[in-house]
Amino acid sequence: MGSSKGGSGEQERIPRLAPDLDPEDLELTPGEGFLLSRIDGATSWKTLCHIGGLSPLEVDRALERFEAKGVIVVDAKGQARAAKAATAPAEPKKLAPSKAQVDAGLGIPVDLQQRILEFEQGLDRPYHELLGVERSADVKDIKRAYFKLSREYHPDRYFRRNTGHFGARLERIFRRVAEAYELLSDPTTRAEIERSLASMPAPPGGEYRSVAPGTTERVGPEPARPRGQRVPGRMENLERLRNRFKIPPKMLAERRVRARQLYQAARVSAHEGRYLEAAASMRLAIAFDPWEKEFKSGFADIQAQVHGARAEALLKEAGDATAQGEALRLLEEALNYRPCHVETLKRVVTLCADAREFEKAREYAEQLIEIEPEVAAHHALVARVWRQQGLRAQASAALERGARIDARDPEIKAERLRQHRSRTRPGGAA
Amino acid sequence: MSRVIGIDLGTTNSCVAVIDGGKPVVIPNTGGYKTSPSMFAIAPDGKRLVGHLAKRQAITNARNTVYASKRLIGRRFDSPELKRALELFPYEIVEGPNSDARIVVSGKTFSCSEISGIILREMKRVAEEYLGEPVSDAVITVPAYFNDTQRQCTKDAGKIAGLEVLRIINEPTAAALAYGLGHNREEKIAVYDLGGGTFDISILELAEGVVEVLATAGNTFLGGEDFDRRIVEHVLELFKKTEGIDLSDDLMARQRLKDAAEKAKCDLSTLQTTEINLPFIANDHSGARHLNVEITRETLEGLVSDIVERTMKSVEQCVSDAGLDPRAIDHVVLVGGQTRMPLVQQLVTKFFGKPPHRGVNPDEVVAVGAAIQGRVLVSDERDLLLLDVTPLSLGIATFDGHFATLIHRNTTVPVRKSHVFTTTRDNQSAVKIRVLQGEAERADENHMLGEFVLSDIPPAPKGQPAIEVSFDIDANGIVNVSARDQSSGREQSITVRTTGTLSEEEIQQLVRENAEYELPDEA
Repeated sequence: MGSSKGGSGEQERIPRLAPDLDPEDLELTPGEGFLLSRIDGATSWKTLCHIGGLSPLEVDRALERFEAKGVIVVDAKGQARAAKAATAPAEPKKLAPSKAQVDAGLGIPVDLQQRILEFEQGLDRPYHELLGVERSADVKDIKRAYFKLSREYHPDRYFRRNTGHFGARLERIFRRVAEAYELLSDPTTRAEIERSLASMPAPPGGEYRSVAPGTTERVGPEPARPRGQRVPGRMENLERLRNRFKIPPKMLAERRVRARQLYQAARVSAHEGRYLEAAASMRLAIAFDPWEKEFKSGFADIQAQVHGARAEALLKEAGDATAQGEALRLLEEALNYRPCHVETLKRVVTLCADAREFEKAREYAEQLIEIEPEVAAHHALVARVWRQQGLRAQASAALERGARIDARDPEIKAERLRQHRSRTRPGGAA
Repeated sequence: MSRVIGIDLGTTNSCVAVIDGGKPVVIPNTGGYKTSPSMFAIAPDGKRLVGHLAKRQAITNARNTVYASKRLIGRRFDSPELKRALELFPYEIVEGPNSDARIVVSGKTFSCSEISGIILREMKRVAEEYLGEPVSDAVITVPAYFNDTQRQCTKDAGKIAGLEVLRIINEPTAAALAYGLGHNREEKIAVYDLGGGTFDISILELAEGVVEVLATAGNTFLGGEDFDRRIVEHVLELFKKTEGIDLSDDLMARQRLKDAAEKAKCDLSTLQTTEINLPFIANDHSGARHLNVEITRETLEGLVSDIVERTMKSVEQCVSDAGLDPRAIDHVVLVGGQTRMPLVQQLVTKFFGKPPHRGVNPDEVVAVGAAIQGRVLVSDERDLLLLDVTPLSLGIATFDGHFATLIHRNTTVPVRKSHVFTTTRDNQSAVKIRVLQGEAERADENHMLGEFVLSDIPPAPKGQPAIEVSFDIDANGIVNVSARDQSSGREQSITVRTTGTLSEEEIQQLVRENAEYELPDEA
């Protein structure tokens, strides 16, 4: 249900596998297979976006596809538990607006407040239902319904009145109503919405009627639909996702053509060694057609070349720099372009520690260990940073970790010696 | 209940209306005129003059008389529009502290909001005198194409005038509201507004007491004054040819000629031929020279037909933006004095296949609509609802310098839209969100409303972080932009206080300052 932020994405949505799913029937890429294997009915959509080898966008699209095919079912948080417990989907007690929210002291009549609360409860209904029109309704009916609801719920209705917490509610309601009108009055988006409605079982008739008892005649006639299991939250999420990436088909086609041209131009530029120009064209190509994988890999290649060249230049500059601060700055910038470059990282750690920026030094050292966990010398470097900061216990713990990998590593040995010396000369942090 | 006045703050003329006894009344000033020139001057003795008084002395005091300042409001000093204004206007324009344009009158520098504020104050005074009670609330109209900065500057002007601006609404919408009275059927209306300085075309729909703007288009730098200027240039050219004297640098002559041109233009709406007669326009060694030129309607139409054609191009675009056929328009409404020109009426009639609506005075219809909206907002009889739209697209700059639109123009407000963006560098820890308004594809060609930084993004390879950028416009048109990193949940937002050209302190200072000026009554 729309939190005060409304919009898409901020809601916790929990995908779970459809009960009658047979994974053998699916054709999946390895990435999608991995993603599917992570779906356990507890991990949220958002979390799924950040685990595994797919980008959040790809995860979104894959989940959306799963959902459309009925592979998974997506619940809003809280509803997941309800669904697991296999309780009846409607919970009138929970959904009925509480009396406490109605405030006779406000500039809105109490019965109207009640209506606003009730209508808001059902905001996540499919667009047709929200507007109270049949699925077969024509543009005129849709517009009429939109105007009718606007007259009731547009914030201007209550201009300069004390609306209390209803102000935000009205804005939320109107935004959603306007969105429904916008999407249903455009034949392209409407067709899409109807397709997704048709591809899924319709909700049981009782569910939403119970949300707002006695208000159905105000909202309009209930659309006729077959009985079946309705999955709360699913339809809305799908629509939200669609809206998020919605571009009119004509524009889409034009953009694709343009993207292809830019891609060709980029390849020519790259071939001739003009990498920056190539990267710029490739970026544009992706901006025009973000769904083409070829562009992305092409861009990654070119970017790697550009970044490599830039990093080399920065490293050289850093080598020439006489001031340590300047060298550190240049090296850190080089890291932006080549984040996993071990030699650069090592130099940055040393320079940071010398500049007594221990936190930063350790952060970079941790990165080193992440990249090459089995190199003892990196642990010696971490130990050195702790020691320079004067924290002996941590220093010796880090050293031990390194020694366990390779006790005879020269860096480990040298660091052990230095630690020993600093212990015998108190306060002598090198 | 306090009354709300509706003010049409025009480029050349302004008009104020109020709902009195359930009927809209256009309030005449003390001189009996229902519109007042949007002019401000400081006389040589230091007296401040507004409206007709300012216009009457404009010839002899050209350098210290400000007109058409609406063309400058909210614009940057280095904008192309300003360059044009610098060439055209006889008064001095200088660059302000915020790269805005300021006007020097009699040695004192005024911001454009202040000039508009002085004019609004005059309209407020006219209304108070008529109603016999103080007025504080107003609805003010602006051209549909005004961006947020220009709207904000107009709001500031209202504040300076001591008004609380309940709403800024589009002029064509106001015109439709004026005609919307008593309508119940579903109707589509085209509003063709050719005023003194701006041209707007809007397609609206009225149904069941709701007004919806389907599309708007126009040009903020095209209007009746362009017609006047064409006549002036034509006459200057003729005079140079016949008398051998170039009057283009003679301020006094130009101003006289401008007034005469405007009058001739109006005459030619009803007559076939008229004369421009300006005795003693110049002096040279052989004595005084007089200017005497005959102009026919045909000549005038030849001089300005390209301007009218240009307006029709916008009309075509707007109708197709609305997804309509010209024949589907039920009513055509004309706004602005310039629409009295027969050529305009002919072309409009030809395009829509039906003659324009008459019934409400084209000079007053906008103020009437503003008064109606004011009334609707504060009264209990809320039988009318204006669904307002965003005039220009809103979005952010992408890293490659492009403009990513989040809210398309003509979207009904209040609205919220969001989109997910990502980083372009590995371990990028911050992104700068630049909020822009406009229709250009390249970011820097659009108008920047504000910027902020979303920082502390956890390190991740490029393309991994999901940054959700949301635009939120409330019913008052206030834009709020927020960016949220979906993995860390970190959020940054700004309310786009459109950097008008004045700070809040400056405005408060001007409110006090201007309240002290006792403006002389209209004679």
